[in-house]
Amino acid sequence: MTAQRKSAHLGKRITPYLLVIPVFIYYLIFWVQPVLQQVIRSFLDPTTGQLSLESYRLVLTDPDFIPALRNTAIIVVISVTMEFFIALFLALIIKRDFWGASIFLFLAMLPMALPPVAVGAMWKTGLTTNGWLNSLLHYVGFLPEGEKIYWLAGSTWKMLALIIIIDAWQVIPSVMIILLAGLQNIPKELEEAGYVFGGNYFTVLRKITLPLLRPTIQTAVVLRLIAAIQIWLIVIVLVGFSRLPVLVERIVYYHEEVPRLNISPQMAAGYTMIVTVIVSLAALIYLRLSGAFSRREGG
Amino acid sequence: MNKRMTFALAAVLVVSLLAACAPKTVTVTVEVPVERTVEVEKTVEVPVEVPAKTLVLSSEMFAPPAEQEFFINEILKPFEEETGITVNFQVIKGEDMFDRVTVQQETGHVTTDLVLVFNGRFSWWTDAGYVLPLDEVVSEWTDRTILPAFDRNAVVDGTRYFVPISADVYLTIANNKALDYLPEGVDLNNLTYEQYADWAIAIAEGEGEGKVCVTGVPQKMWIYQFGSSALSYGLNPAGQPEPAFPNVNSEPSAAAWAMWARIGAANGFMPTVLNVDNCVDPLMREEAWLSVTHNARVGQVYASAEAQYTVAPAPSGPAGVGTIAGAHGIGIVKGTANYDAAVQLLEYLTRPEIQVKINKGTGGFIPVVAEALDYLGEDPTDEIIRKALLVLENGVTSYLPISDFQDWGAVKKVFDDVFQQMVLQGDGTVDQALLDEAQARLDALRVEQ
Repeated sequence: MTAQRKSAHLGKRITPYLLVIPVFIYYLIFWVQPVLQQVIRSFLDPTTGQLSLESYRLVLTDPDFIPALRNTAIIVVISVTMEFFIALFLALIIKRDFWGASIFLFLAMLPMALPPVAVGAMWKTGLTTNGWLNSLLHYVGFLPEGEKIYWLAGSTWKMLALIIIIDAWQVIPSVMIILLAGLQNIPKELEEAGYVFGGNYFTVLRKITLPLLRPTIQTAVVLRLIAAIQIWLIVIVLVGFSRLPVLVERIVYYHEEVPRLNISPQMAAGYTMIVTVIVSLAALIYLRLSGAFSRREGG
Repeated sequence: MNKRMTFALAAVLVVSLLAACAPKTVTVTVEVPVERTVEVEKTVEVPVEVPAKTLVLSSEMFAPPAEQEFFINEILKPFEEETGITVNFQVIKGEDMFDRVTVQQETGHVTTDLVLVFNGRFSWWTDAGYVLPLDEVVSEWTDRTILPAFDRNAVVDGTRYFVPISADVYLTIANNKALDYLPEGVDLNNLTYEQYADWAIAIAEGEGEGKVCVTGVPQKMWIYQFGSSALSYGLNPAGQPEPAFPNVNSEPSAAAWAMWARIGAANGFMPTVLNVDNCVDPLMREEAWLSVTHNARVGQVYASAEAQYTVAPAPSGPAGVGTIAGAHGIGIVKGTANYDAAVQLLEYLTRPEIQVKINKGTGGFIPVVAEALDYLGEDPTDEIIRKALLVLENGVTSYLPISDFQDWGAVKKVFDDVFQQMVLQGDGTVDQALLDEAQARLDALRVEQ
């Protein structure tokens, strides 16, 4: 009887591990192994195979590194902030369940269904001098006949602004969906209690809704933060490689566009590691600041 | 009971997974047929089923979807119907194709039968020994003559490894609205680059907006557009004594830069030129009126509205009509299991009538079989091909010395940067220090011989 119990107890303890093993093996082969390989490669000299920091030296002295870092930071800060507030606003509107809310939700979600290449191509067509955006502005009377706005011509800042707007257009629906799911999970009674005790809409939002939504906000923002650091496809569809360098675009540039340059493997490896560290740090800092760790530690 | 079942299921899952990964020992029972001698009194017809062959043709040509569709449906399908051989056509970047075949050669598992390669990269393939000699095959074709203009690197030490199937040069295309600004007395068919610049500036002043199209997006075609002009100003074609294409800072190159900088300073380029990766769309949308570009792209625009555009040879300079000339050729991969079928496809693609069909159907490339020219008619694409041939026969042409440099994309970038910094953002003059600096970058990319 005791042996039977022991065996049952052992089985209970082992079962979860056994179930996880296939996934673990899969990740070991297809994720951990290439990642480790990349980490090791970034510290090796490709010609001698000796330990070397050359990849990092090359990246840090690359004239495009600082602009890439700056452009990425600008995109991340502005787009994540803007996308979060607009998505929250939309989620709060849809949650009120007004007439036509479902259709509004459906329309708002459409950009999410488009791949980034299609989004880039669509906007590029629209933003050309004789594109649909200028035609629309003419049609509604915002732009006098014969006048044109050269959306795609101009400074780096103008291009950055366009990229942020286009990215926001595509990404806001996904952030909104996450926030909406979080809002719908908040028990109505809690908000009703807030109103009963004299709170107005904004007080209830600030004191009850948003604190309860915090875990969802953390998820949405972390996911968005990581994705924003990894923006590159829209950039190259709009302006091509190298005109507006961003971090991940640099990796693709050295890996795909100039793969036979002597320095390309080192540059691609160096940039990859730097992006990995930045993404990890950004996520950690955000989670730390938002109190995710302290709450878990506190139980 | 449930826990036991779960445990058992998990164990079975893990064991199955490990078993699947483990090397297997298989016992096979083989029945050995016993040979018999049978006397047959009458002749019996036995239908023999020949297994259908599939050829894999990897190509760095025909990347635009419309060209791919045409090549697959109008060229390869009739071949499949004629021979029963299926062709698996794949478009792939030149570098990736070479890497893929390298792996196949190293492992001895050759799955690519033919490669359709840009002539600037022929030497990669011949130097590596990845393509088979074709002299015996070509000598059997008595009804066609392959033009020798693109034999460089296709024929090595007297042995042919590639058969070109199409060629391209640069042509001038103008929206007819631009003709109103053409300086008086200028003949479009004998246009010089200085007249081209005057024309571009006149359009910009008259329209209040530049209308010249070049590809401003990095690593596209600007190097060829600039290179064609530099050849016109006296730069030597690649392979000849320095200064030869590609070159940034020599006297002929500086003269060409000065002409482009003049257009730039007068805002003669279309305002969104830095976002243009192909002049076809801006020309069709009428955002651009004027361009010196690839003849197949010119053909695409011209065929879309023949009455709206005028086509002419590329402008000339003191040294004549300069143009970058490229070609694509097919080679048979060493170790292919389908050699005979590959030869059949090669024979089919070089037939004069098929040559015309391919090159006309894909916008107006130049056929490279002399007899194909007899099949040219009078439609817009035929006119493009005739103009292109004129440039090819009378122009100062240069091939692309891709294998002389570590990476051709990086070479393009050097020219793109000068265009942005000096032509678009400059004051209309040539900054020799900037050109010298760019030349140093270019020289650093050369492969050590």
